[in-house]
Amino acid sequence: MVDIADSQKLSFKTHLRNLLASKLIVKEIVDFLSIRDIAKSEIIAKLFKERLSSTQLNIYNNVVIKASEFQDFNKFLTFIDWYQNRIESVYPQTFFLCINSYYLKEDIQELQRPLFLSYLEKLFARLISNSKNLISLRINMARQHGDRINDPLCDLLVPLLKQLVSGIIDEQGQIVQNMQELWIESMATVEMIKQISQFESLKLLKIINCTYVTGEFLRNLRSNNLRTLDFRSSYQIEFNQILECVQNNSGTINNLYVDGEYVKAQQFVELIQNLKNIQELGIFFGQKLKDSFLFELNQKVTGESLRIFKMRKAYKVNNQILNLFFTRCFPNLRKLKLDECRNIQDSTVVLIGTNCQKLRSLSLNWCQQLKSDGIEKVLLNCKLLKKLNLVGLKLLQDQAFERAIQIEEEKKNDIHELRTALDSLKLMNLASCDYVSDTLLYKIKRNHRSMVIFNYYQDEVEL
Amino acid sequence: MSKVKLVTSEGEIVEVDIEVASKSVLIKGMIDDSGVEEEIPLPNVKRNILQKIIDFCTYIKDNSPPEIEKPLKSNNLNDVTTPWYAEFVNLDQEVLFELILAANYLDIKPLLELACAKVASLIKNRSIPEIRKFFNIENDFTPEEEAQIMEENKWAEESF
Repeated sequence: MVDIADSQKLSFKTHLRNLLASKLIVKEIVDFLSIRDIAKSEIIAKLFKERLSSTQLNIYNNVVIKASEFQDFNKFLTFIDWYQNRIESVYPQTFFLCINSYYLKEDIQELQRPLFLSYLEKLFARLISNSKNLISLRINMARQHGDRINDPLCDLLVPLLKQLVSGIIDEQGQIVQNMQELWIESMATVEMIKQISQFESLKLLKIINCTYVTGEFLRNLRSNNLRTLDFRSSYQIEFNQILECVQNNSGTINNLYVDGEYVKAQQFVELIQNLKNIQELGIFFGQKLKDSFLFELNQKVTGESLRIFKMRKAYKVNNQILNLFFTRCFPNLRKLKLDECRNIQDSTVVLIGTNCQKLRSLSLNWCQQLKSDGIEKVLLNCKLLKKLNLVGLKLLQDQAFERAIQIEEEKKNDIHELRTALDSLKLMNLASCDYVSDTLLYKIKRNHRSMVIFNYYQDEVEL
Repeated sequence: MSKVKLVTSEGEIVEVDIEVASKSVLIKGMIDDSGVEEEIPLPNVKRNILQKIIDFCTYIKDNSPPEIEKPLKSNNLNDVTTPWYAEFVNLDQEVLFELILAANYLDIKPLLELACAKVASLIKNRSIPEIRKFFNIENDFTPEEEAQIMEENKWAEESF
């Protein structure tokens, strides 16, 4: 720890005082901290006698509770209770509860279930009475298949949704709804969907992995500004229901995520025809997609608007049409996932490396025709890339990385610019790539210690 | 390229490319309002801090901003952003604090974020007595008061 000379202490303290006096600065700092650290910053504020109360700090306007940050069930409950007390006189804008913890799984789902529910009941009761500013609600439950273990939680949520649907009275005496973002995972009942379909100002709706909920109420959803729909892994929400929902809100939807497993080729075309100015598109089971889909999409998207494109398992889509699609420049494309698109060849990946240089994340798992040319181009050009998934590329060789390594050698002392994607990458997965050698991976790791690299066996490369 | 004259708290005049200076929303507004002829006084910004700011704004002219994920995944900034940015905020706390105040005053969001991420990384994973020492915070609570605060927030101290 650095100590500061006595003569500087006064000005140092003044700076710190000024720093904490600005809400914006405190918020910026707190945003980077996890919940445990937020509690710490509260203690610092107290120790500092700045009388910064929690409401002044605005920390509790955004409630975030993640079970994964805890390894002890009782501490997790203590935390829920602590939060519940902290928001006693606060009207939070966002609420995010994520019960998806490996360590606490047994306690939450079985051993301590009644206790857990009783704590959540208290938390939700608080939220219901303090919900007037709530615009964003996100609840992720632990993954469940088939059984209805999360129904008691849904029952706790329904009164909150009702409250939000009934709205509040604004200054002009009008009843308004504030709800803009709703994101639920692994928990939904028809009663919940019924409430949800009455929201009129939703911008984002995600109903993910809710395997036993049907979507008939979705046709009632008419929101004046709906931008994003996500129905991944909610198998019983049918294509017609999704299409109707998209049509009812056509003209505003930019972002769509669907499984696509039971959707016919022609229906995909119909779906994207109803989207506007596509920014994010995700299809996770694209087995039924045909070239005509990508041809239609090519007509529909503009190069500037596309930010996220995920198309998994599009077995039938050919390299030729992929080539055509990526001939255009996508200057704003951040994430691209083409896992298991079997027909994709290096010529397309070379185009991706040329025309999608702002990529942050690229995933080409099990695209087994790929050799080295495409990946080489990506490494040389996409200097903002943070994640690169190349699992199961059986023809990929060390050669793909050699040019990038060579360039790094040539510009050895230059930390002022990013030389290749190797400088920006934080994660690279090369599991099941038979011809990528450990020697190469060690070489990369030695030059880039903060990069996480997975080798053939999906083990992390360590020096 | 045309330049704009900035005046530091010491009264020194520093000429800066307009494109670089315009990364500050405050300065951009002033240029838009009264052109580049007039000197722009920055009474809150010292010469050494202004130099850091010019370095940063010059860099982001040609490079993408730091883009640090929230919350921080590591307390080593090298793990969450590029080496240049991590090195840029590797500073004495006092300079760091002054930089934050200046970035806030001049309204340069990427710099404010980067510097705040640095402060957050200094707090992260440290115990409260350590943080107090680090920030040189005098403890003027009575032992009873302190015990009570610690008790209230006990869970935050213990490892999860």
